[in-house]
Amino acid sequence: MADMKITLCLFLSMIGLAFADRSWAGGIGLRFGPPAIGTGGPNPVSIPPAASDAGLSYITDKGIEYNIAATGMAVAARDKTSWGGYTSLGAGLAWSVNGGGFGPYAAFGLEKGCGGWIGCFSMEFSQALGFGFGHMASPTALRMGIVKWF
Amino acid sequence: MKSRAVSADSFPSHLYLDRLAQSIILALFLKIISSQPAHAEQVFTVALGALEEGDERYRPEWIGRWTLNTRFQNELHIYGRTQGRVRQSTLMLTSTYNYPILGSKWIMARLGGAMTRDETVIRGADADTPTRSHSAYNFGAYLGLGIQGGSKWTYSFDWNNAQFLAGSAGIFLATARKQSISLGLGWRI
Repeated sequence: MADMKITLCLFLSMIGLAFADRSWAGGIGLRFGPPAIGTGGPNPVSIPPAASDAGLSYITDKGIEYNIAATGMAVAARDKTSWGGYTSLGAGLAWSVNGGGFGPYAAFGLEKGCGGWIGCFSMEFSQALGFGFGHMASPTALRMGIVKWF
Repeated sequence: MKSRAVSADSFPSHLYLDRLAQSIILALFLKIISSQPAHAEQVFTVALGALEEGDERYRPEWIGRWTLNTRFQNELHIYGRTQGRVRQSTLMLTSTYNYPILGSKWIMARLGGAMTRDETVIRGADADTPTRSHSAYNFGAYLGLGIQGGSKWTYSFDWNNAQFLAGSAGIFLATARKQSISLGLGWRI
């Protein structure tokens, strides 16, 4: 039930951003991959992917990312290369089964094949630290999906 | 990966191979850092860090780090502990390319590879009980960020992740990892 609610939330967010005003120009990314949250390592991604495996990003044309996933949320600045690779650095909230809180966020990604209508193939590894409640959280995730630029 | 049992009254012969593998990792590190042109800018760093054993359980580690022209970096992570008859040790050798991000002189991101060797040895309780040992090797990707400052003497903070595909489950993006967070002090020549 919780998975359905998260999926619905992500879906509505995507619809909302897709029909947003031109001033919202940028990209929307939806990637799937199992997060590592201190429970014996990430399980293989579910088929079909579970909402807890999803990561949603909104990237502005200025290169600012807004990321949300089951393991946290973060705002980051993206440093892009001409061949499709990028590195992001920012901060946000991160949590795991051991604790969580505020901390740095970083991601390493690749976007290729952006010519078609469906969007770019995207693969991203993200890491975050969270300090504040419980023990330090250090969730990571390797995700694959699509980024649609508009 | 292997696991063997031998008698405790003699030095386990298969450990010679492990010692050899361990020596090769160390020799590779020394070879890499000693084979560069004398005019290259090099930074030698010793760092104290926290290395993840798994599931966000961090343990202290030592890191020897060598950086060439700020761009090429090799690290040797050493972690181990002995509890009673059990000895556990980890060696991780990494090699990465560093690049500045967001126009900063201080913040470097890095991409590269990692190789680990984990070993656990359980000594026999007495002469009749065999010693058992287990060692495993892994190869994976190494990604991370670092902040470095200073001129002759340097200081650094690093946050890196070694990612290993979890066998065939790697197709479904399942990974194992060793995360390292460290503070270092270096010398630039």
